[in-house]
Amino acid sequence: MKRRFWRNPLILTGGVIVLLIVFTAVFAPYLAPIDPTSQSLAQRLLPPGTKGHLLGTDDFGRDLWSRIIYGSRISLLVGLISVAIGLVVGSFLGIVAGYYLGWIDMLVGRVTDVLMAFPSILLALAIMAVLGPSLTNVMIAVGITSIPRFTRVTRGSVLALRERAFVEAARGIGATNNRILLQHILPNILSPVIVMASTGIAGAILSEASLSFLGLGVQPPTPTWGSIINDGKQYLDIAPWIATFAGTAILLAVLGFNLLGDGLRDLLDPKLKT
Amino acid sequence: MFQFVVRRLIATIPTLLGVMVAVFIALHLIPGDPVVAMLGDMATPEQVVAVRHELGLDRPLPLQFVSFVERYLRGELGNSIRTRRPVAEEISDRFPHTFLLAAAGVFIAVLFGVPLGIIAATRRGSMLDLVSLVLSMTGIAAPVFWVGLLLSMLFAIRLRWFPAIGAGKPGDLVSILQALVLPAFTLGFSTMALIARMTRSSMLEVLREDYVRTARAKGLSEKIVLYKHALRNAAIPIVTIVGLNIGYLLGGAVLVETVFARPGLGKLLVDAILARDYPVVQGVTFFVATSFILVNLLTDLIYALLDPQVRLS
Repeated sequence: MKRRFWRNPLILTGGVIVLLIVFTAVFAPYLAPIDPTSQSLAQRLLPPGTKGHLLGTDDFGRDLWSRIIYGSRISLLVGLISVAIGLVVGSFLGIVAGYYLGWIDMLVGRVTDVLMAFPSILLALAIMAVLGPSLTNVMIAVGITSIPRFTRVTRGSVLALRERAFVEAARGIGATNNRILLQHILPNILSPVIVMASTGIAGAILSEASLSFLGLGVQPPTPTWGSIINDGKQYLDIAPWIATFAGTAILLAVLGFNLLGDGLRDLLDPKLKT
Repeated sequence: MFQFVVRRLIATIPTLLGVMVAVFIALHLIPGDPVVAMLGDMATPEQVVAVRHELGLDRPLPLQFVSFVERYLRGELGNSIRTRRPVAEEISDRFPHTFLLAAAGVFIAVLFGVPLGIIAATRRGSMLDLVSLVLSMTGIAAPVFWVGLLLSMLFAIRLRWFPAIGAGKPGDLVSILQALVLPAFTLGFSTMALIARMTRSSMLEVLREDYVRTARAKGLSEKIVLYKHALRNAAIPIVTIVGLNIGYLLGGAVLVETVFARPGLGKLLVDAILARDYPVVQGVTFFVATSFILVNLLTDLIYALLDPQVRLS
């Protein structure tokens, strides 16, 4: 397993990109030369390569490199927390529904169906409309949209496992339901959950960027990749670098987590390999 | 097949009812007074009372829900706070733009995605396969609004081939199509990537089957083997991906319409959220979710038509 992990090109490429983004987010204050919110109207819309501004500046004269570096913090934070919300709530519902079946399964199934009846960005938008724009609410909204996918996957896995001999045996020797769920079933459903978490972070980063782009996510002056693109939208003809660089950052981050997820899927669940 | 259709139709009812419950509850989850949130701090107490009455918020919750369901089933989605027009009218005005965009997006995604997937599968490991892989990975990872801006930057601002914003002059087909090209390519790009990946893996699987080997052994041309024997059998997962992605396209349309300032449902929704026009938010959300459910139902039916095992299971 260890050797296969290190030899998987998807995991290696995705892992390097993800590590790079985590490194950038953690060490942002050391990597960003200037405060990402500090404005200088005398230095607005400077092109990339200008002395002191590697990627140029935006319409408020803010350093784009610093803003993109700090933007990685929001993307990563929203990605991690919202997927954690989806993972914990969704997996709990999926495990309970798949194990106990009956009315619990039916209820969870209906709720999942309803959540899946909304295209995820629309659901996130509707939740943001209710909660109002803020970082916490973005995490909640994106988290809720990822719940049904975790529920579906864990329920399916538990359904397959609950009839297996080792679960029957545990039941036979008088193990309680909690013990069976925690000690026998949970460890066996971790693989698909880990894979889904990795691709889920990619989806969450895209959702956060979309909400910020629409002006319904994290509010200014906090730098986020989506809001940087939104700012750059009006200056496509004279300062195309603003939107281009911020979009490239999103592309790389999403690509990294997707590649890592695909690689982990090949490693942990070769049956699903496409 | 008839039984399958009836079964699927019945299964849709609780989901639709659930969507209604979700849309209804949403208004009641708004922190503070939703009417004050809608009208702003400058509203007079009389205005607040009038809007509260208009929305039925001055009645007990169960009664509110019953009348909400009744109204929605009749197609009455209330009035916009901003424009005072019926929400259903606003939706019917905007829907053709979104439908056209989503349909054009699917068309482009299939038109380019399927051949790209076939080429990648038949020339596995070649440079073309690698190009298709890179294109697909990029398509899936690139934010749709960013792709739109890049296309706009190149083809509208630099080359001036297509308009950067709007949906064309009403009644002028050429101008409508011109205004559709960039948004449709933007929307179709990520779905094209998914379709290409799915076509590739599905074709690779089918090309390994015995009947393909038999077809080749019979001396049939590679073209007939590929298109008549392999692609037809590889089509089922491709149709599923297309169906599942129409919902995504409806969601993606929200972003694309904002980039290209197209007067569709997505733009209507975003503008309504920003203006806290909740009846419009509720109406559009319900309408899009219902369309999404119906598209999924249609996909299931097509899937069952293509694969008898599905309707028998």
